[in-house]
Amino acid sequence: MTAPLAASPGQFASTRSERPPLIELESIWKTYGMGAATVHALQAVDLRIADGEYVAIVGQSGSGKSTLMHILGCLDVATSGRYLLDGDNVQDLDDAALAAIRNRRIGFVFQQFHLLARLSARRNVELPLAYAGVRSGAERRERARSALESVGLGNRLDHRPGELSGGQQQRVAIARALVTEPAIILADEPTGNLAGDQSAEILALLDDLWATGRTVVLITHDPGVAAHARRLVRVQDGHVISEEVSR
Amino acid sequence: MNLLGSLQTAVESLIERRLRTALTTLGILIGIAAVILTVGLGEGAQARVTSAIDSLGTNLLVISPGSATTGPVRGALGSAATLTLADATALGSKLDCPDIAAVAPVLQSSQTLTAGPNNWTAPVIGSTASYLAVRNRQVVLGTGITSAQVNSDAHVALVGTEVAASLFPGTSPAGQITDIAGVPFTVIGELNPAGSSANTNLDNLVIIPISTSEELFGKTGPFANTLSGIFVSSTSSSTMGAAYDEATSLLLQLHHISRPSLADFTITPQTSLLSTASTVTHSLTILLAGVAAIALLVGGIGAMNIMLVSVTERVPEIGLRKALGATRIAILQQFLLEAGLIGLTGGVLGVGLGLVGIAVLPHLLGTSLIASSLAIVGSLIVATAIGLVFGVYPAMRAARLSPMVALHSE
Ligand SMILES: Nc1ncnc2c1ncn2[C@@H]1O[C@H](COP(=O)(O)OP(=O)(O)OP(=O)(O)O)[C@@H](O)[C@H]1O
Ligand SMILES: [Mg+2]
Repeated sequence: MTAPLAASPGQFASTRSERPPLIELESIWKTYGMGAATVHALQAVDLRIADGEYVAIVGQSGSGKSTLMHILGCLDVATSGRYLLDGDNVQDLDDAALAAIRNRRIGFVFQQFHLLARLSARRNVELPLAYAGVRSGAERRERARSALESVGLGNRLDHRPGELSGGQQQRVAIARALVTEPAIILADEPTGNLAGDQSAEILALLDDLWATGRTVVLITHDPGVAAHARRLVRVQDGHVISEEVSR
Repeated sequence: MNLLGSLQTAVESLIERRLRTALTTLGILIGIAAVILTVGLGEGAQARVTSAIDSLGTNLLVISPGSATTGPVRGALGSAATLTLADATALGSKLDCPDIAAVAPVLQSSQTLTAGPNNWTAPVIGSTASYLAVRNRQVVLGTGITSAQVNSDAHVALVGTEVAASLFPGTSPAGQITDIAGVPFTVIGELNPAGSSANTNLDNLVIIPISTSEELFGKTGPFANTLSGIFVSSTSSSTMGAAYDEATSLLLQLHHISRPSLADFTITPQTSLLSTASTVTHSLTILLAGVAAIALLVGGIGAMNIMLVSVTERVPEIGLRKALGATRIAILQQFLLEAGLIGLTGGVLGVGLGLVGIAVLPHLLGTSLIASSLAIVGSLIVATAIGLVFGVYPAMRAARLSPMVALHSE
C-alpha cells in the first residue's frame, strides 16, 4: 500500500531533524513484575525525536512499542533512565505537571478509540478543554465544533459513539487529540481496528496534522502505514535496534 | 476541571446509573428517617414526662410525714403522723424561709359523695387558699376557696372534672349541693382538667377548707391534728435548693431533732421526680438513636460498597480522563461529589420521610413525636458526611490509578 504524501516543500525529515530534539530518551528501562515474572519491556532505549518529525515505531507484537508510547506520553514512568521533553526532565515532575503535559502538549489516538459512550461526539472532544481549565462552556463547545469540522464530522456533533462508524469514532478521537493544539500527536495502532478505506482517511488526517507543524509518532506493525512516516524506529525485544530514514 | 464541571460530570454519571443510585440513596434514606423518627419519639416522650411533672405544680416541694429511711424502731414510733398545722404556719414565715413562696397543708381522706341519685368516691383534700397556686391548678367554673372560708369552717367544695361529671352529669356543678359523708356542701367551683400524673388522677378530687376537713374527718387520739402532708412552692426554680434547706432545718428545729439523718419527715423536690423520669426517657432515646445510628452505618457501608463497584467498573474511564489531562485532584473531586450527592439526596429524602412519619404516626399509635430541628440539621450533615467519608476510600483508589494501567484494564 502506497499512501499519498501530504508533505509540502521544506518539510522533509532531513531538514527538520536538524532542530533541537523535542523528545530525548536516554537509556530508558521499563520492567514489569518481579521475581520469575519479571519482564524487561524496554531495555536501555535511547531515542531522539525532533520538533516536527513524523516517526513510525514498528516491531512485532510484544516487542515493547506500546510501553514506549506510554512512557513518551507520560502515561507511565520509566523504571530507570532519563526522559527530557522539550528540555524538562519528566522524572522530576509531579502528578499535576504530568497531567498538564498530557493535557496540553500531547494528543493521544488509541486503537480502541476510548471514547466515553454516554457522551456526544462534541462532549467527548470537550473533555480535554474542561481539564485545561477553559471555563466558558460556549468557548469549549465552539472549539470542539471546529475540531470536529476539521476532521469532517461537522454534521455529527450530537451523535454518540455508538451511532458512528469505526472510522468516524477514530476521527472523533483525533479531534479530541488536537483540540488543545498539542505539539505532539501519539497514535498507537490508530488504524488497527479499521477497514481499508476508513484507515486511509485516518492516515490522511495524521498526514495533515504533520503537514501543519505537529510532531507525529505513529505505532504500527503495518509497513504500508509506516510508510507515511518520514522515519522508522524499529523495536525488538525491548531494544531499539535500528533507526532508518525512510526517504 | 472546575467544581461546576465536576458537579455536572458527577450528576450525569449518577443519572446514568439510576437504579444503583436509587438503591444506594435508599440505604441512607432509611437510616436518616430512622434517626429522625427515634429522636422524635424520644423527644415526644420527654416532653410528655416534663409536662406531666409540671402539672404537679411549679417549683413544688412535697413534705410527707415519716422518714424515707424508716427503720423498724422508728416505724414503731408511728412516724407517719408527724406534721402539724403549726409546722405549715411556721414554713409560711418569710423570716425563717425567705425562699418559700407559698405553703399548702393538706389533710386528705377518701369519702363518698352523693348528689341526688348519683354517688361517687373521691379523695377529699382539706387545704388552704394557697393550694391552687402551689399545685398549679385553676378554677375554670365558679370561684376558689378564700381564707375567710377557711377561717369560718365553711362547707364549700371545689371539684375535679371527673367528680363533676359523675355527680352532676350534663349540668354545671357551680352552686349545686353535694353531701360529703352525709354532710351537705356547696360546690363553688370546678378545677381545670389536668389528666393524670405519676399514678395520681388529678381530675378525681374534691377540695374543701382544711378547718372543715379537720372538724369532720380529722384524726383522733395520739395523732389528732396531724396532716397528710404539706405542699410548698419555692419562689423560683433556682431557689428550690435553698427552700429545701430552709424547710429541712426549720422542721428539724421544730421537731427537736438534732441530726438530719433522724428526720421524721421527707421532702421530695419535684425536680427529683423530673430528673428521674427524664433520665429514663433519655436513656431510652439514646438506645433508640443507637439502633438508628447502626441503620445509618449499614446504609453508609452500602454506599461505600456501591462506590467501590462504581470505581472498579469505571477504571478505563478514569484512565482515559487522566490521559486527557485530569489530575488526581480532579478525579478525587468527581468521585467525592458523587458520593456526597448520594449522601445529601438520601439525607434530604430521609428527613422528608421522617417528617411524614412524625406527622402520621401520632394518629396511628397515639404517641406524640416531636420534630427536632437539631436532629434534622444534624442528620443532613451526617448523611453528607457519610457519603463523603465512605466515598473517600473509593475515590482515592480511583485517583491513584496509573493512567496506563487504567486504560488497558478492559
Ligand atoms: N502492565 C503490564 N504488566 C506486565 N507486563 C506487561 C505489561 N504491559 C506490557 N507487558 C509486557 O511487556 C512487553 C511489551 O508489551 P507492549 O504492550 O509494549 O508490546 P507491543 O509491542 O505494544 O505489542 P502489540 O503489538 O501486541 O501491541 C510484553 O511482553 C508484555 O507482555
Ligand atoms: Mg501495543
